[in-house]
Amino acid sequence: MRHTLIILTFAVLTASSCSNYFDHPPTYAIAEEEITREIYPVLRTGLYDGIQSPWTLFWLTEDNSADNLVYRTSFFQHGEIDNNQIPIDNSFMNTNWSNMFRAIVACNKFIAALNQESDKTASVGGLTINQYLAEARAIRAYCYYHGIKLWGDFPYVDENTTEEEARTIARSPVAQIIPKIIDDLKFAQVNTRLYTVTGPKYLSQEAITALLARVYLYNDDLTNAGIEAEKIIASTSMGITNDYLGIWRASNDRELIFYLTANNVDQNAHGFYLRAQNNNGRFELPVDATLVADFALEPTDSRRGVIEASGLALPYAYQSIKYNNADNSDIWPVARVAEMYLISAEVNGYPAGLTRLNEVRVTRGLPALTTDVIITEREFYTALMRERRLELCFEGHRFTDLKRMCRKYNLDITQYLPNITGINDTNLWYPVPLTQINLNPNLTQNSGYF
Amino acid sequence: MKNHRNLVCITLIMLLSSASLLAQSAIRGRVTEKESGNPIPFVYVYVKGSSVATSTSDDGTYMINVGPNATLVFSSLGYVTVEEVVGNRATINVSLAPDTFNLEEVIAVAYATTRRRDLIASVATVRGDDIAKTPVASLNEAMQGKMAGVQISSASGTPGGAIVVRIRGSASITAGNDPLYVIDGIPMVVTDYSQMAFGGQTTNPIASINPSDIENIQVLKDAAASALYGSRASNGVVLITTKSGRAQKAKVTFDASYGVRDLFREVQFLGTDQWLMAQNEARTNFNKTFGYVPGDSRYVSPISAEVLGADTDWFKEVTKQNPMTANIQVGVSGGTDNTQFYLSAGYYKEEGIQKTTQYDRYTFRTRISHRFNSRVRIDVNTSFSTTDQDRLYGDNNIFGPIFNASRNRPDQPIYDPNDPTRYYPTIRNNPVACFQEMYGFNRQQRLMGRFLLEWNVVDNLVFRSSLNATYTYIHELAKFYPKSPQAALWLDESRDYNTYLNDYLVENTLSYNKVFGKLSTSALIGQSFLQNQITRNHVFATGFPIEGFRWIETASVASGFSSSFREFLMESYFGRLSASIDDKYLIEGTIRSDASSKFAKEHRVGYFPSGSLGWRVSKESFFPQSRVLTDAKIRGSIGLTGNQDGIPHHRYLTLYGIVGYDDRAGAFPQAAMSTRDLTWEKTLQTDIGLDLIFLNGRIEFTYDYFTKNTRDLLLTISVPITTGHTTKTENIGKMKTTGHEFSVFSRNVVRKFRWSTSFNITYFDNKSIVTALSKNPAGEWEFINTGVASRIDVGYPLSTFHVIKALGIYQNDSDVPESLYRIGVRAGDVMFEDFNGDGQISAADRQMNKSGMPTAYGGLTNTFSFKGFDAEVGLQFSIGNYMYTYWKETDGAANGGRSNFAIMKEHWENRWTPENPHNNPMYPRFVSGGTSGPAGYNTQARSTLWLQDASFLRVKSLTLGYTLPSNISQKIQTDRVRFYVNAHNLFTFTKYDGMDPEVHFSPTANAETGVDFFTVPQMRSFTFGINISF
Repeated sequence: MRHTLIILTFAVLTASSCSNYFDHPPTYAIAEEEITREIYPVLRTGLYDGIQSPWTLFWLTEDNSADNLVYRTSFFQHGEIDNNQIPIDNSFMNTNWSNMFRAIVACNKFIAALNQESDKTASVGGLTINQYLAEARAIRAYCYYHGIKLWGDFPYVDENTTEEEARTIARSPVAQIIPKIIDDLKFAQVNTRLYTVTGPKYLSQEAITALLARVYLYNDDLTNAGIEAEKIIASTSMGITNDYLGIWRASNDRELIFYLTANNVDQNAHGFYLRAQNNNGRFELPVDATLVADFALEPTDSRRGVIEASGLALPYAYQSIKYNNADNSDIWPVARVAEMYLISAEVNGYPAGLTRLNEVRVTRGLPALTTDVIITEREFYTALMRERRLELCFEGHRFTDLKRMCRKYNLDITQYLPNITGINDTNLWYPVPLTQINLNPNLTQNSGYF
Repeated sequence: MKNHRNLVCITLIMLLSSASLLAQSAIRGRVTEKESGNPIPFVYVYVKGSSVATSTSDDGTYMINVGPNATLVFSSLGYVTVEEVVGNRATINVSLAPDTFNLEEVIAVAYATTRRRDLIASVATVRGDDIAKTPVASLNEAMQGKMAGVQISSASGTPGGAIVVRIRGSASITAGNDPLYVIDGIPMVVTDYSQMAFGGQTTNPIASINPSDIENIQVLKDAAASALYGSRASNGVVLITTKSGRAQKAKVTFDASYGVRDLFREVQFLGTDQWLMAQNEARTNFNKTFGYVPGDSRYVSPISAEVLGADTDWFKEVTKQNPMTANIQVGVSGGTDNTQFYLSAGYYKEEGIQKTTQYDRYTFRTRISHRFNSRVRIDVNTSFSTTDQDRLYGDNNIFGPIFNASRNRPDQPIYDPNDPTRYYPTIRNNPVACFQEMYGFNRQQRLMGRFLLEWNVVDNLVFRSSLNATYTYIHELAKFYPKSPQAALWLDESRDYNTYLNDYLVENTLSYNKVFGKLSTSALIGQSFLQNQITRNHVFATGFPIEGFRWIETASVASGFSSSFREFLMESYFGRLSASIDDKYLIEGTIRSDASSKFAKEHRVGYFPSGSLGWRVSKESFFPQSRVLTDAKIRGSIGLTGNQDGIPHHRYLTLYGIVGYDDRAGAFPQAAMSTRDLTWEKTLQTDIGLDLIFLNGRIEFTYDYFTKNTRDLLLTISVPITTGHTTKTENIGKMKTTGHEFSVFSRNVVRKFRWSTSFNITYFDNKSIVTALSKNPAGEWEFINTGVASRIDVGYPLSTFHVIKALGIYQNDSDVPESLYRIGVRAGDVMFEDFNGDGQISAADRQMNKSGMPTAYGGLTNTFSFKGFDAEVGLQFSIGNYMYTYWKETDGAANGGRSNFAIMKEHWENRWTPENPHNNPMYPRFVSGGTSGPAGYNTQARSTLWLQDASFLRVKSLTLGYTLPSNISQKIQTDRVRFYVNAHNLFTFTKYDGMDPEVHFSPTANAETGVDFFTVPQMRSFTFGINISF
């Protein structure tokens, strides 16, 4: 009997067949097939992260391509960008291109799920379906805007693609993509919530208005750019202040329409690349000597405080301290009020635009420019372009500004970028990453890149 | 061995049993050894053709009941079996002759044991006696050079560091090539689950097993042997059997040893005076090449010592003089007829050659078996081990002390002469700071338990059920103190990790054996369920009040944290049928089905069959009876095995990873694309073998020809990003290995002086040749660049180097082509092959060349004994493996004055000069990198200049022992006292001029074998030890 008991005990203990166990969903990630509407708030947060963490290498690309930053050490890919001689296998190009598409596809998937919802006004987790749609479409538009301004014609997908389809997708002309961007942003503008509700860390109506102003300007639609920019300038919940450094030290968020936040765990790297070694950084990208010189022209400029001696000799003598958190919890500003003033100034042209331009200058501690000093249109646009540089340095605008404004207002780009020989296809656009061309023969390379 | 002997005897009895038992009478007797007359305990005495059996007691006596006309069989391992017809005797005394020819030897195979005689699979064995003779850090070391087809190399000399085990080459690129380890039936987790990356270092979990506890090791090499382990058997299976108790009065063994170690070879670097001379020659040559004169901005001025009087021997500063090893081990075994036990405790300590590195191991093992009656038995086996490892960041890392010792210039001191509390800012990371300012600790604790029930349900039918659990806990703590070269990157962070592994395994088998006249058959069916859980967490923190504090409680800011859980499940069914006709024709078939949680429902189950045939030719009537050739067996097998390592969990699902934004949780699609139809890597293996026994067992010979064809290799390929994904894992690659194994064991002299020799060699016709990879849209094979100088490409072995060919040295300026002369190449520089003919030397000129994998390897072991003396000489060799000397290139030891880094003496003394023009050794002239020109022309090109034949022959182990005569040992109340001295790695013969031809840059990266980063080498050791039993 004793033995029978032992054997029975064993039989019970060991007769364990648990095949239903095998289908347990993962506990460390969410399986797509498990996604329900309860998860919409989580997917929404994911979209913001999608343009935050992975883009941290990308944000300074324009300042580096242009004359705001120089390459010092470490990632030679930064050096290639700085030299305006980017090989087609520059890995940052592939990373940036890929991260953009990862965010676009995440938006597409979310949008497709939201579009299945019959009642778009139904509320899930505090937002309506339309509000989710608005943010997802705005983020998609933001990604495509980056795509066209850096690469020109760009593959456009707004629904899920299979691997087979993805191997054949060709680039769409910029002119076809811009209406889609504007369409997405206009939908978002109507459907998203006010800044007073969302705050600056999420897309508000104001944030989308600012993005629209920027896209209209890029598309040379000055009228609409002016209308949108003036909406922000008229807003009472935000405005320009005389505390420029405070924008970067969290003491002043009146000037920030929309920024991406970070904490010490989900760290951003842009400050780490910018700061000198004596300031918890790797100092990969010191401040370009021409920008230092530009700041030196007007010593009362309060914005000059964002550059500081690095302890090294020229040409690496200055570091940017806009993003100065030792634990890399710095923000990334997507849209600021001052940009709207400068857009409005550009829309109004010479001499009317001087008003908005001077509002920014005076706020920053500088004397107003008068028609006695700025005598020609050309001088006006040169001054405006300089103002944009000083105001928006290290915020990812400069390369597009140079290309767009020099072409539109007949300014000499080689004066700013001695590495290039005038605006041509090769330096107007970044190279399409070789990795992607290899995977999709229909993806054409920008001219001048081999 | 007793345990398995038990099993086999029971099996034998079953095979031979016939139901009829008639009138009984008791027979008594005594069994003694033929020469000495000493009694032999544990001899199995059974009645031929029945299930009646007993065994002799300590004094060699036995009692057994037999029927009329019975024949008694006396069988014991190590003795020739004797049969005695009972007749009308009541007492039968037998003396057994020591057996030199033992086909009855019982060996463990998958889920059973078998006699060597019946084996028709390829299995290699190492016996516990061979392991116990000398102390080794891990059981892998005990296997080194001793088994055909089994290649074991020490990837690094770091204490507790990884050992690379390859059975019949490599069968996978990405999914792992480690064999499956099964200890007493429990598959063991051997993956290094440490969370902290230590710069390419891995730890060796196998080292947590005390080698003294091992009874024997069998390596299952072909599919016939291993296919019963199905989806995890492609890389072979290592079956480890631990010791068990015997029915005898308790016996205690005590082993202790102490050893000191040193490097068998060091690389010599130039001291300050010579270093300055060398640097200035390089600078002069540079200026002369371009015609730069003082005043020219490109002129490179002469160098002088940076700190007067400094002459630092960096290597000496970071290495410990004569690091020690110590081993203490106690074992107690004994028991009664029904209950037997084996208990042991062990401590092993090893100091590393890099200062502050060391390894401590504590092991405990308990094994108890109890027989309730003739039908029911339980066997409980529990072990506990703790290994403590003081680690440093870098076997293969720019923060490693030894690596930095090979780079730093001698004219810089360790400490700042103006402020001795500060480290001198050396040109590369200060090697002394690398170990003094770093804390790295790894503790691994493992508790293994097994509860086995064996129930002889009816005659011939045995049910076995086992419950197995393994708990592993890993704690890691690491900190780079503020003065550490790593501190800036780590931001003064302390990192604390916990890892918990829970493995549960339930197995049930039913086996049946039956003899029908000349046909003996056996069958096995079984079921197995495996659950493998990994729980991890970590906390990082910064802001410590005092330099040297590292525990998180003293930190002020938490900078990182996580916890995670993963689970893997597998449910399996398996079966085996085997038959033997007249001991002449042997046939066996096995099949296993595995269902794994890693795959989608419709691809979850895999089937792994095998079949084998054996023919004992020597039993055929046409075979000439000869004293010379005693036994001859031809065998062949074919079978399918799998590999599922490296397949991520839930890859069949599209997953959204968890991300965070604004302190909220978000979900974002993962970069890796899901692959619904992902499945196992599969290896089709065939084996044709020949086992010959000559001179009644004096010489044993085994030959095997084997093939391994792996398909469905898991490779990660890129997908267009418009899908939202960057990569996906697919089953696309193919690989092929074929080779020969040859082993011979000879008892050359078997008198009072005994001498035996064993030799084995494995030779590859095709050493893991890649035969398929992914294709690009144009239909061409895509290659994969990997490691520093390796490429995976169709048609080439794994770990083939992709380097520019160095053809020689330009002897005259006029030999240099114009296109190269223009950039400053001159006589004394290396002549590289311009493979693409573009007039330039660039990465585009690289070609596939040689491999880090050996073409042949093996070992030769001679053992001697005479009276109380014993000796063993074990050699290990490897042929055709190349090493890329990463430590020499660019700014490395052979930089030739390109940079202001350390310079190896050998290059300086053998460099090309106009006065001493030569081609061999191919060491180019010294020339500074300057600010332009040929900076790195010679040294920066990844070329065959840095590729060396690392074939080696090693005197792995040399042991001399002396056992006290028994009359003396009895006087001090012991059974046996043996003293020994052992030298490990005494001599190494190799053309390789690094510190160790065996090291691997990255032991887990299979396709990058044979890269030396100035990796911590193995040491030579001298050990004195004592074995006492009483």
